[in-house]
Amino acid sequence: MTPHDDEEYQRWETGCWTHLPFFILRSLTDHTLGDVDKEIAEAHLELCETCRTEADQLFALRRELLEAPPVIAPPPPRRPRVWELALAGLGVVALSATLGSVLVGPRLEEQRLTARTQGRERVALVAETRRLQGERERLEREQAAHRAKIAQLTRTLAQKAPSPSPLPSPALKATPDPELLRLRDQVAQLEARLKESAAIVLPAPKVAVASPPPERPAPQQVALSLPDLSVLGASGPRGTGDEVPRFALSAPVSRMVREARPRLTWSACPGAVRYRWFVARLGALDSVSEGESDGLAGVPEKDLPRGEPLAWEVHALDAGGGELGPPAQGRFQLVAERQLRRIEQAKNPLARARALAEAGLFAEARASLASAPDSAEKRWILKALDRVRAGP
Amino acid sequence: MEPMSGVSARWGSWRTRSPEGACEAHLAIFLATKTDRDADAALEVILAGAAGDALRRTLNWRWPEKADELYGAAAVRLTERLRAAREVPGSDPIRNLEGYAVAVAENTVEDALRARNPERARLKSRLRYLFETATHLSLWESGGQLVVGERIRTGVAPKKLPEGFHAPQSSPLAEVAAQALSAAGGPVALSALTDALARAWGLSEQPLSETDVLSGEPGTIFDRFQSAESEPGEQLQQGEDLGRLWAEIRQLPERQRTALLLNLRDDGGRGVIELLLTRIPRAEIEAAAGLWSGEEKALWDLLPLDDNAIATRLGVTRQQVINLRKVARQRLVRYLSLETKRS
Repeated sequence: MTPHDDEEYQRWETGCWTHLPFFILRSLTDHTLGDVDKEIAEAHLELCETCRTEADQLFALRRELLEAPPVIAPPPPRRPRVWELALAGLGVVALSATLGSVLVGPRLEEQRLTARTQGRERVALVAETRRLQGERERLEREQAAHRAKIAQLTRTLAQKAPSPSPLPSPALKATPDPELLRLRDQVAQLEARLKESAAIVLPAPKVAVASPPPERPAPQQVALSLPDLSVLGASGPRGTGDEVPRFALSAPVSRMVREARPRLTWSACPGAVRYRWFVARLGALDSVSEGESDGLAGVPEKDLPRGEPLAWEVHALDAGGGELGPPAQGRFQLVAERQLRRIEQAKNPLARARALAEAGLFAEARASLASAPDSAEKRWILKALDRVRAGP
Repeated sequence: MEPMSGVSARWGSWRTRSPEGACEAHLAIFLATKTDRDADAALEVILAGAAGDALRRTLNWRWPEKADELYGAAAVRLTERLRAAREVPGSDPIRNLEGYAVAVAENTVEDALRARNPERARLKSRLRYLFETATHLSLWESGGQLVVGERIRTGVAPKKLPEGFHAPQSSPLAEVAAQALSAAGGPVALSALTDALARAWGLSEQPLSETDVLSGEPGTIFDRFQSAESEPGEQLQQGEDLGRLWAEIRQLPERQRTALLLNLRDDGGRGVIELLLTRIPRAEIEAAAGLWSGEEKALWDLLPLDDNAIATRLGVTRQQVINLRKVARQRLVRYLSLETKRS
């Protein structure tokens, strides 16, 4: 997401819009919009003809781009001659190399990984491969035609020349007949061009240009779905006006946790002699665990519920038992049982990393990936984790 | 003059608190007001202060010629949103009011542009999509404007399109873009390219009307059902209308229905569910609002819920709740207007 996209997304989030911002329409067109935003956008499209027309046009443009061959070079104005074809062929090689270096260059690798461009680039690469195949076949046809022409001219020369020796021969060179000289020049020229065109090496149909980039996920890799932890990202109400907690929670905050009884820690609050902490299901009124501590940590006495967001807060108390300002608040979630089982059942570091990533244990997933051998899937998972770290 | 892109009018996210906080102090006062009169006075202070300045500054930057014309519409949008926030104490709706005002002003300009020349707006969107997604093309920001060109020339300063540039409208857009870049000899400003093509293809502008730039955000859709002093015949009619409206609400997708029902309130601050209870069985409302057994008793007294609580229930963000409710309301308003036309 570019800064400009973020700006447009913020405008969308205000709720003060009459028509869908471009960013939303584009994401809808590229099928990269989240479920909720998609539902909102589609509900609006049902009602708004202006946006519907715009969306239809973008979908049509998308189809057009997917179906169109890549724009690489202008079409030749006429049928090329052999040496022109040779130069064009060399140009194709150079252009293919340029295209390849641009497409697999580090800057574009990031972009390729986005769902928006993956499909389109693949289509473009396939089209380019087909074009190169066509070039190759045409070149081969031209070569065959010129070989036939040389053979025919050689036969003509043999009939006209006094010497029966094959070309090139001292006898032929010595002949003064201008017609023979012309034919000889023509044959020499054709042979040179044939030799030149034979030296052209067009990329094979499945050269690097056409092959998918290593980071592109294999079909079984596409299913990697990282959990959205945004619901754990925001803390709850923090008092009113200028009232803010005088201390902060340390861990766990805004993340997934594996332990059923995680150790809850927080920073010291000036003047506090005791702390009271609560853990509750998000939005619920009753706590699932609570306790008091003289120190800066607490551990629940029973297992916390798994697979749902939990809110926790700590109240700093003075010697008289009074609260020192509003409580510090945070959220976390325990990994669900079935995800724990998947992690435990993983047979290799890569599978384990995948299971950890899908459970939202991103740091552990990274650690597991470190011991996995290099592979396309490993790089793909790393990229996905990087995107999570970078944020939406 | 072509309205400027919003890229240089950025104030930072309205989702994070602004450092100064003066604007937010006024907002806090407004949200805490008990009477409408006090609220109006507080709103005046807000609009006379940094939030109003942000509206004017953004409109002046984006579209100086129309800034005055659009200010009223933008201010109405902002105050509507703030009034809605005031109805839900403790919802903490906006952390950076100035940034929020910028976003509202930007939306007002965009909507006005679409209203003035929808075809040009669509053309610009298509061009932007083309340059952002085609592998050999690129779009970037330069000097406060969006510039488009070939990918290999990303970052190169934009050139001017020759006067009278023309390309056939029937050609694929990618070809048209290639011709334009070739004619200019390099990258061009997106707005200049859009203008040139709009002129060449005769996409004409229309004068702005007030309804074009107002958000059309429906107010309380249940207003028509709330008169306690209605005549008996009228009450009967209202009962039938409410029944039909309820049927329409039940047709809404689940998330939209929950976002709508758990928060809607009438002018007195009461939840609309209370009103619906006069006509609809409670169990039916509970099911439609996504309440489940064991919690409705506790929740019933808390209704209407604030957006944070609804967001938690739905597993979405608070902003998404606002948008979900917005589209739900739009659908119901449309239904109501259709019903009115029929009757």
